[in-house]
Amino acid sequence: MIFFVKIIKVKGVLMVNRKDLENYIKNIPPAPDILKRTIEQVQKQELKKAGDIAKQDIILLKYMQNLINKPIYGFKNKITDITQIFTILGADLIYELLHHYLLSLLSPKKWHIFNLNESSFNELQANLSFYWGKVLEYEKIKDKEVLSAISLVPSAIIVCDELFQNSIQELDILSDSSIIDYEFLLYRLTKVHLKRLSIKIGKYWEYPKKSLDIIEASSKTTKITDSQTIRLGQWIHLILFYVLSKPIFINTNLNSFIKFDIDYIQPIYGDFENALGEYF
Amino acid sequence: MKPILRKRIATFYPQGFIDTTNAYFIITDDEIRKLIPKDIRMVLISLKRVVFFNINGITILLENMKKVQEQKKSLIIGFCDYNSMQYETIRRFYEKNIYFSLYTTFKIATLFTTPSVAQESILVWNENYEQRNLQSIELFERGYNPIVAHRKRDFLEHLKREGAYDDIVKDTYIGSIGTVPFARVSGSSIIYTLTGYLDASIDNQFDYAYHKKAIRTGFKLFIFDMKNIISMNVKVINFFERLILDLKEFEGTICVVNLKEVSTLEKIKIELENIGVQIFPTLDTLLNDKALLSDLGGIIKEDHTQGKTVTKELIHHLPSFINATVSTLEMMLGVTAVKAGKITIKNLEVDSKETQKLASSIGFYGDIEGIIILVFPFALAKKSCSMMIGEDINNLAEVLDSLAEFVNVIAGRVKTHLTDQDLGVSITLPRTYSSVDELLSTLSLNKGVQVDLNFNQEPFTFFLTI
Repeated sequence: MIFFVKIIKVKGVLMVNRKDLENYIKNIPPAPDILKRTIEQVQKQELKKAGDIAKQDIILLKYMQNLINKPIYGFKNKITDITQIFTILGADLIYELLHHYLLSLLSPKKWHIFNLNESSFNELQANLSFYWGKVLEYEKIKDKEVLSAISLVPSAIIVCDELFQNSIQELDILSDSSIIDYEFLLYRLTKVHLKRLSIKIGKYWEYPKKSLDIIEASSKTTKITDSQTIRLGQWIHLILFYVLSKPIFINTNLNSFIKFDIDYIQPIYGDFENALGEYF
Repeated sequence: MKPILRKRIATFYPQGFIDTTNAYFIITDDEIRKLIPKDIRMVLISLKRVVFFNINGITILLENMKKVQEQKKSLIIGFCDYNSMQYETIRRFYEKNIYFSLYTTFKIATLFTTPSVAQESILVWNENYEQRNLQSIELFERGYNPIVAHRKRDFLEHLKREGAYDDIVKDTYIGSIGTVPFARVSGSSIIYTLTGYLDASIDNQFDYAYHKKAIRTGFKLFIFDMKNIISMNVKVINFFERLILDLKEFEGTICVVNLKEVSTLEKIKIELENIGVQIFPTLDTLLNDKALLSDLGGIIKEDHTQGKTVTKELIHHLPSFINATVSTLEMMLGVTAVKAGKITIKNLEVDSKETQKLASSIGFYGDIEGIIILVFPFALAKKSCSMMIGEDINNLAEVLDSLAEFVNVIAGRVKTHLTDQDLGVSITLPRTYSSVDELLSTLSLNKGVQVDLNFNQEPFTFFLTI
């Protein structure tokens, strides 16, 4: 790891600095008004009203149709009507999916560091959402504030791609001789943890505190002491690597974007097969 | 997935889960193509960040690593950065057929690819003495100072000495020593242990080239131990018929032991007896009956190379043979070899009148062919074998048994040296002799290269022939 710093210094240019980071945060767009209003109605369990508002945003409509018809959700017939989508999925899952949509607004048009595109990014979101749902079912948790936590996970991937997009050459040299751990790299360069960036984005978009705490607990932390939040954080960590091990993501470069901490997930790993059941 | 290239090792670092669905994407054909021209000694998969793998996933990874190995003959393939449970799991997956290497960490793997800088002390422990000795010899040859623990309790004692070692090599396995995994030697007989269900596929499980070389090396009695056979069909009759035919001119015998007493096998049993296979209830019934053993496994003469002498090519590779032998003995005995006399091509000449001498032979075949013969004074053989096993050996039978393993280690190392020079060879099981007379009467030796050495005033003879 000292090697990283050496190379960066030899080249005389920092790949990413604190200022880049601050600029990036400053330029995060606010949540669209239609989306905010839809979320408000979902929180009130007014799914029909929520559907009617959502219909006004054609991109949101397309996003929801596309996501829900992915094979992982297993619907036999294509569902296109937004009201039907909202009714079938229920308030909790819709609340989570609306947050996935919010995150997708941040995703780049063209990916630079990770071999992703709009479709594979949506696939990633769908996979995370699906397995998170299975885990919460297993843990008997029905809380939309917990459900929405998973939607913040890809924000770290988006941030990395944006911040490091001008350093592809340097990263390529580094990747010949070291595993690139973007979390470590970002911290060495800016003293900011990747998950703190996700939390910052979450706060800006008014994610519930529970979601932000779970993200904080998605890797080893001393800031969270509540055992259930830590357990959920461990699940998020494991699900992320389970999904990133899928063939579609192996060669996206995502498999190494952060370090998989096997020790951290040990307390829940024994339950993993049971939690996923036939989907393991 | 892109591998990391460090210290002539290409390491892949998958994270998470490895199974049939994703293993093909970890080492892609494109990466295989890119690796072939690289100056690398090993291709490894790090399991540091892998929480789950299954046998199918691991097999796919190995198959893809083998594609690189096929183009770079001396390349070592395997795994590193695993925990004890992962180590045991992989060993259980492949049982005795581990053709790849296992290194606890990447750093431990580098000990086997890079020379020592300051004669670092390395503590070596492995339950299998052949492995622990092979590992220590490999380290010794690279300039390290290996300290071998021969018992688990010794190893644990060594561990208490904090800071005494620069590194500890344990739960490590060096693959491709070169032995045929299903065969072992007992006296002058070879015991083959087959597994699973025996049908026409036995041809894939059995190494005919090895078997034929073993016949030519002087083995006469071949015992098939069927204890691991679940069942079999009549196709095995053809297999045994072929073996009987091959042995006919050498007056050899095929025996089958531990055949299950079930009605479905009764017909096959009768057929086997009809074609000349001898059947015994257990291995012990046969091995413990010395008179019977003697009747079945008399001494035969090797005659396939009559009149031939060592080839130029064999002489060209002589340093590989000598280095492997000398460094192994130096490592075991802790003394330096001193050359005694000139290296000459002649018939084997050993003075065995005053001291009892033991001998051992091992054949190799493939791109080049030949037989290595080592002649030890009893005391030197006893000392070397005691050092290898880590226990005092007293009687002749024990020394001969261990000597076979010892020669096997040397032959395995010769194989590695030759592979480095792009020569593919397989080795037969070693054979031991309680005297030089027994050696000479068993093998009709041609002229060969004789190298006489002294280890602490103890004479030792290396002889290479075809």
